[in-house]
Amino acid sequence: MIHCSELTKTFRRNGSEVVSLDRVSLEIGAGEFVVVRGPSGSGKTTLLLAIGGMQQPSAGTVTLDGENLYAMSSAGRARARAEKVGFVFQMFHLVPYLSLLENILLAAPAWPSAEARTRANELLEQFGLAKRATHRPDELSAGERQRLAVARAMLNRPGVLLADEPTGNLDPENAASVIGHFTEFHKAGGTVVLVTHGTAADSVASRVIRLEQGRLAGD
Amino acid sequence: MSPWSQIIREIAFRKWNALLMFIGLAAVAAAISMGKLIAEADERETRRVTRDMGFNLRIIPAETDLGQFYRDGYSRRMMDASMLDRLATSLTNNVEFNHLVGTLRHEYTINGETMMLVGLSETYVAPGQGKKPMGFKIKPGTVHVGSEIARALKKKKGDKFHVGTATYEIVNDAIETGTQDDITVFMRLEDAQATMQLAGKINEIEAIDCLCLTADQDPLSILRKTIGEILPGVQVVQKRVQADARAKQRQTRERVNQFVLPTVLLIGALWVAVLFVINVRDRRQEIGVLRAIGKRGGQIAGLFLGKAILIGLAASVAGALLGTWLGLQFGPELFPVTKNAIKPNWNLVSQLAVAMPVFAALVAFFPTTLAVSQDPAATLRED
Repeated sequence: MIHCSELTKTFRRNGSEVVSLDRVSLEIGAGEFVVVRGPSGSGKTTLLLAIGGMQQPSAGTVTLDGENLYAMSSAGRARARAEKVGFVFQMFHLVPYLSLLENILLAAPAWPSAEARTRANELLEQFGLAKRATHRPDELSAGERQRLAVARAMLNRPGVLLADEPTGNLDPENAASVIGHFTEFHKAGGTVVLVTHGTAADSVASRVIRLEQGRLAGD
Repeated sequence: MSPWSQIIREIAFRKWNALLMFIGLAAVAAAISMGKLIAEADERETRRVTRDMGFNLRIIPAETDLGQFYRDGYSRRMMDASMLDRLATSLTNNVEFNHLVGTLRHEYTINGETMMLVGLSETYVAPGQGKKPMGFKIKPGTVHVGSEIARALKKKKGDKFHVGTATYEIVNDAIETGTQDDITVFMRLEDAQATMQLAGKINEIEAIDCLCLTADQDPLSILRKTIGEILPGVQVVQKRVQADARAKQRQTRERVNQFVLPTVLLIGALWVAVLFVINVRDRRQEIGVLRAIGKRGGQIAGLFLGKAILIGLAASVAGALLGTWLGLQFGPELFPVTKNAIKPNWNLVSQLAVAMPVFAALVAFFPTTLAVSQDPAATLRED
């Protein structure tokens, strides 16, 4: 499903070159639950963003379902993200001026169909947020916000969920709840790539990858 | 959700940013609509004032003795009236002079009263400029009589006035002007030619110098050259005081107009652009997440340009109405002579309703480009 080959990413910071990913090659099959670990600055987020078509690598390739993401146009990558990938971030990144329902529907095409609306309402129900559909994100707790972010990522029934420290700002109870939703997604046949420092997902992960200084240090 | 719905929600959420944009754009629209109203009023007032200054260009026969001309106020030499037609034909191609009137001017005595008898042709105006002819039109069978002549001959408006064998009706109130007009009788050119037995002749063509150059810019040599090419040999003299006053008035007005509109547009554009840049900065993470969920650059650009268009539309209507109201409030005080001509320009209001959203979108273009081109990965790392 996901294939990274010799993936390299360098940044320029304060005039010097920093290697974030150093020739990382890996294969993630459909239906895997992969936890990515590593110290801060080891390249975990860069890897996740590169897999999701959000971070142009300096070298190497990323293929998703057989398509070379960075050989596509920007619009093509956007379409691939919309159809195949769901992102979840540590800071939730919800749109503050939209209601919960609208935040989920944001992932739908403009002028969403009745089907998309039904799906969004089902997700609100599934994530225990149905009664707050018209509320705005700033009226929610951190745990509720992250559940909302996961619901948004799932609107388009993606094949893969990419999550960057999704439990980093949550208490253990809410963290467990979010991991539970990832597990459900995984059990339904979805692929999960989870960047985390925590151990909450260890029991459900099918694979743990370790990055150190931009290199694959364990798989 | 629909982009318009999203735009409206964002405007309501960041209301201060949107309100300041609205105020900036409305101020531009108000300045344009009020400025246009005032500029048109100023144009009318200037035209009226300069018209009242009278013709400032005198074209006289080649052989005219200028000493005699200035002493008597007219040339004793004659030229063919067809020269007026030749000069009038050239109005299509020149922008240097306008409002041509052929005159036949001579002393004349009635009942022992010596007066200036002036025959006036119709006024020739450059075509396609929508200008009304200067001066007054004399109807057949009528005359305009100066106040001193009316007093001496005991005549008033509506009385009969005999010139030679012809009889005319006086159609003006003889008001003292303090000029030679007080001892002048104005009549149609054909009537004057018949009275003086000078059929087909004139001794002057009066005109307005449209160069509107001040004396130091030497308009007279330009005018002499242009007119001399059409009517070789004629003499061209200019009433410098009137021409200078007219030129200075016009130049001042044009300078103000040339300065005000670009300045207002520039300040408005900078104001709105800065607010848009702030808006883009405030929405960096939103833009990042929109990218992450698969929105294309064009869709994100649409959110910003749509906002600009929406606010521009609302601001244009509010601003244009405000500007029109201000113009109607203060215009009459500024331009008392032509105050009755100050009217709302609804056509401009509708034009602004189209132009201001376009202006706002153009101003928002650079900040929108920033929004679209920013690296979403960089913003999503900012946790």
